[in-house]
Amino acid sequence: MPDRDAEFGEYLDSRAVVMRRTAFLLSGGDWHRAEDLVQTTLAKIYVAWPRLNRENGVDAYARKVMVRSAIDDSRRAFRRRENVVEYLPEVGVPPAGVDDAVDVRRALAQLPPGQRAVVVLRYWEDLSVAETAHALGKSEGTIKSQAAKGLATLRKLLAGGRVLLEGPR
Amino acid sequence: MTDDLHDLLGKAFADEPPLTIDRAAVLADGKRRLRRRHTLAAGGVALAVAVAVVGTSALAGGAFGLDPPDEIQPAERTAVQLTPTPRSAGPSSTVTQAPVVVTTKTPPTSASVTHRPELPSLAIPHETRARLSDAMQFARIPWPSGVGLRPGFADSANWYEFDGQGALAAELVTTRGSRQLSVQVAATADGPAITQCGNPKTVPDCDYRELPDGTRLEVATVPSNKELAQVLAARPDGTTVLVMEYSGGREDRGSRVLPEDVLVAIATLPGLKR
Repeated sequence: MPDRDAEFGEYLDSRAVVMRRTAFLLSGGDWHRAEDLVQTTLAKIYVAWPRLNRENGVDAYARKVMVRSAIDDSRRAFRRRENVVEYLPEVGVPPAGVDDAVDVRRALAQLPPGQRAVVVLRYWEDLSVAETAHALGKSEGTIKSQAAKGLATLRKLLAGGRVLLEGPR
Repeated sequence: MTDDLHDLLGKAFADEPPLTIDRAAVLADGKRRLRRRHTLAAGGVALAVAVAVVGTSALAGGAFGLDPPDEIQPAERTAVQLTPTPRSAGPSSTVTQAPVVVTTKTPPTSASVTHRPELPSLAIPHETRARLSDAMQFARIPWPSGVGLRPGFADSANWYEFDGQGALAAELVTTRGSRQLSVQVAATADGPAITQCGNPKTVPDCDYRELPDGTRLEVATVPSNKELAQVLAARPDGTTVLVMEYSGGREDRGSRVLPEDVLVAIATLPGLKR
């Protein structure tokens, strides 16, 4: 019988960074929430690991769990969105590219969780409409509709700035 | 355009911090979820009721012989048809239920009873895992007729294989659908287990018994939860065994398959020792 912990540990090490990026986009640009999301997702993957590993379905399952967890998380009103800190952080000069990053994060954060998930899966994870529909448990028509709405919102939010979105193909 | 969007979304990572995901914490959380899933696989409300072990004598000699039953063959992802073991076919195949000396509807109140949130299922050495699997494979269990067994864990080749945490999952296959069998073996010193006992609303039928060798049994059935059945044995050899039959699977038959004496036979198998 294969060693579950060793195999799972290898998967964790190889995929954690990528998963955190997806989680970051899904969470609307919050690295802490992204890590929480990844940890929760990985723990759930561990439970189903033998079946997933044998069927080569780990990544698909991970996306499904992560997206649904992110949406559930977003629906919990104001959960851990504000953290009390003892000292105010110092304000430094942001590194290059941070302005764009902030714009994109703010725009993503304003999307409804469902639309944000569709945008992330379609345009960050490069899933097809059918794959996105499967991951979210929605119809392909709904996915197309939400993708169009999500992109329209992003375009509107970012149009006045440095980034201009084209329409969906 | 998709590439443009991909690049655009990628701009969000400009100040990406170092990864701080704690691998050990993830594994611990995963194991916790796995234990909970095994223990409460049938769902329902569970209360922590613990039974600790008293007494030191061995199980009644020969109560559950270890001779391999001829009818049981290893499964390769297929169901194994089991024929009931004759209970009085001769000395070598006799299955004799040890007499119960105490039966009560109230939990024991001795100082040895403690409360813990869940059955500990700590990692076990490979040798222990193999020994538990052998004990299960060759045990003379009075399986009812018409019931087949196949592996419940995806990475198990045979239904009787325990995993690295002392748990076994098997599917009980009948012509009317399937049920699930779960067996967990833990060291009593690590803490006792959850059963459905203790909640009269959900468990109208819960017995506490003590066998002559000092093994304490909790026997619970939950008709409202698709005939969930549990037997927990806290044994004098320092082992706690929790056996459950519950609904589940793709073709759940809904009604119970294994009689109580089969669950008790598994829970008191001498070979299931941590």
